[in-house]
Amino acid sequence: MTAVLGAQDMAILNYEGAEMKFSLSELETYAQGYPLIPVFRTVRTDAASPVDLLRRLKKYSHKFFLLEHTGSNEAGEPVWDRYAYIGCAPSLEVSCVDGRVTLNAAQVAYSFETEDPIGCLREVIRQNRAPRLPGLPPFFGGFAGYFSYEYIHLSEPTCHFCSENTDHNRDFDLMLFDRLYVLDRQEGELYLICCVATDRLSENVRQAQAILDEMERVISGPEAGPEPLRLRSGFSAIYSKQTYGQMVQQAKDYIQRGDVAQIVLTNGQRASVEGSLLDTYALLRRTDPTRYMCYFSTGEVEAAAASPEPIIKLKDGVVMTERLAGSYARGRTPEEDAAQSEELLHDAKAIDEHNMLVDDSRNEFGFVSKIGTVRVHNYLNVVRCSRVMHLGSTITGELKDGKDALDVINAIMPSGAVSGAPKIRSCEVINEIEQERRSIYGSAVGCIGFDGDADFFVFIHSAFIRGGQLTVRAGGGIVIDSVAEEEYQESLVKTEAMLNTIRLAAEGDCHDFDT
Amino acid sequence: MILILDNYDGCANNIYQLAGQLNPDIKIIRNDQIDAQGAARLAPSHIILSGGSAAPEQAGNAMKILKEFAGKIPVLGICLGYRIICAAYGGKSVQMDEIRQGKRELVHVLRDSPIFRGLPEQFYAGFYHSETVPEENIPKEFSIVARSEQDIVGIEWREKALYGLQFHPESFLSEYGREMMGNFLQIALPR
Repeated sequence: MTAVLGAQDMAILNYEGAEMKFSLSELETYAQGYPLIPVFRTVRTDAASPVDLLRRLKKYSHKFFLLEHTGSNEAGEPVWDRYAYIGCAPSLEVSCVDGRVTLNAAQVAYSFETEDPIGCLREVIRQNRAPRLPGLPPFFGGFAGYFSYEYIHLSEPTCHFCSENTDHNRDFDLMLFDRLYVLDRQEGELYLICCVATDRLSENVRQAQAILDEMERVISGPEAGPEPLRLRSGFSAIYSKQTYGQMVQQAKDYIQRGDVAQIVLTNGQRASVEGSLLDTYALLRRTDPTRYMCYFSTGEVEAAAASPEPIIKLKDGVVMTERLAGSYARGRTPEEDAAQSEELLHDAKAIDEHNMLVDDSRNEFGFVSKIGTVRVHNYLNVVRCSRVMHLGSTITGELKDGKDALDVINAIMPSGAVSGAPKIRSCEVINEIEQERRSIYGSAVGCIGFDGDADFFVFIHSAFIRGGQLTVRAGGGIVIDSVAEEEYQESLVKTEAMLNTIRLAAEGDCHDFDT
Repeated sequence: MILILDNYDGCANNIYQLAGQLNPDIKIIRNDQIDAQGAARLAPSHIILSGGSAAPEQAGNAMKILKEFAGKIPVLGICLGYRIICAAYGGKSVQMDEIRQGKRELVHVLRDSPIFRGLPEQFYAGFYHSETVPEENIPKEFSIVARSEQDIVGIEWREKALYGLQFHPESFLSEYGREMMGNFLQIALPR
């Protein structure tokens, strides 16, 4: 150890070749009022993708989280965003099953019943706040995981489900990553970030250097090989054609009665499996790079998604979401693509549905936003993903004073993309018709940073493994003129691409999926 | 103070945002979280009944609260709120053959009404409903003030300052939402 961290006037501290970005006195200033503060450095990396990095990390923990985004260029082709976030071996995990909260630290777990699980979570988040230092990526550590589709029974106690949670699906599960790797594609660098307590700053910052060294050593180690997925059974549909037909009819009866305007029913495919979804994710990000690309494991559930749909983005007090409706295939030529988008823009059914989603989001944001700040932007914008295009509109609002990311999540969960309108009644009706919990399908997956900003997407276009069962679920909006047969077909078609990716990954020829 | 009675709908906060811009002294309360006495204690200057998916008679205390305040302060019913006003005076709703969700359609103003003051004779508005009150079921105390291509979408009982709109002025699909809300908030009961 050659560091001289007591030297308060040093602007940049060289520590065995690595660069520390702030002096101790600067850190002391930033730390005012925060229990935690990030310490970070950047290193060059030879990793071609975050999956490479994760392959090096995964052997250290079975709990990890990888999130990356794509945007699109002028030609509508997907382009990777600058940063990819990788957390591994969380220092704490907060989860909840039907009002029973569990705090799981490295060595100890503590579980208790509470009337107010959301309040408990809020307190844990509040105790883990840190300032964003200049030069850090938007997410520099914090909580990552999911709020389940069924979380509404906590956020909205008037919502009653008739089916029991027999297999103990979690209402939320968030992992605290106080160490984070962030791949910066633009600079070809890797951020190593660790957050330490501000109480004995000088000593903690010194220890942080050792932690960053360890992080650097780990990430330079060898990759674990491919992690094969083995299908132990064929895929079979959750609901048969006949059952699904009856479910669609039930939904239409509720719509005709005026209980709901529209609801999203889901079907899916299941198989018994062994192994990991990492190769599936590696393949997915190459074949279908979508706006939200995510792969994570809480130990209890392993999941991969290529989702087009944000649920909330909270940045510096401004909440944002984008609602999508209508799905048209991308054209094979620019001319065909333009013709497709023109047709989509004139699809009255898609536009009606989209309008409903926009008013729905305005209403949800209206609850947590300052009066007069809720706005619609880019109305009926054609959003192009790698295979399909959607109608999109962006809704924003300025958060009311004293409100936080959890308030927004409480106001908007679950997404209208997987529930319906009006929401509370829709969720009750869906639960009654589907007769089982959706587990993490339809969850809000993402992160709440140490600075309170948040970034969550809707967990759709996804696969997950829980209890040795791989599930690929997909939904379709049921409206008054929906046709049962078509809805059943649509539910199959929507899972097909993901099933193909899984089958291909399971065949094992995946040595170059990562590039 | 404006009291918005939330009938468990996906539009109550949109009404809150719209009316709140014109008068920040505003409360939004669910229809089963307050009763007529509770509402009276708040001493609201205006009441707005939101949309919702229940039958008018099953919308919590909305009907009781309406009856308590009708003729005392101006009340505006939107969508279900409009049908609650009709039902309170015996006007039954019926299922529509063709339900309308997320439609942007024309509203035709039929006669001079305080709620449409300064508005053109027709304008676009957002529609979300599967039930409607047929013309023959509109209680005789009310005047029909607006129509869509399919049904009655606006009524008033001016002496009691009761107003009902089947469409959604708070929707982003609607033109003149702010003007209609402003008109309503300027209405005072005739003495």
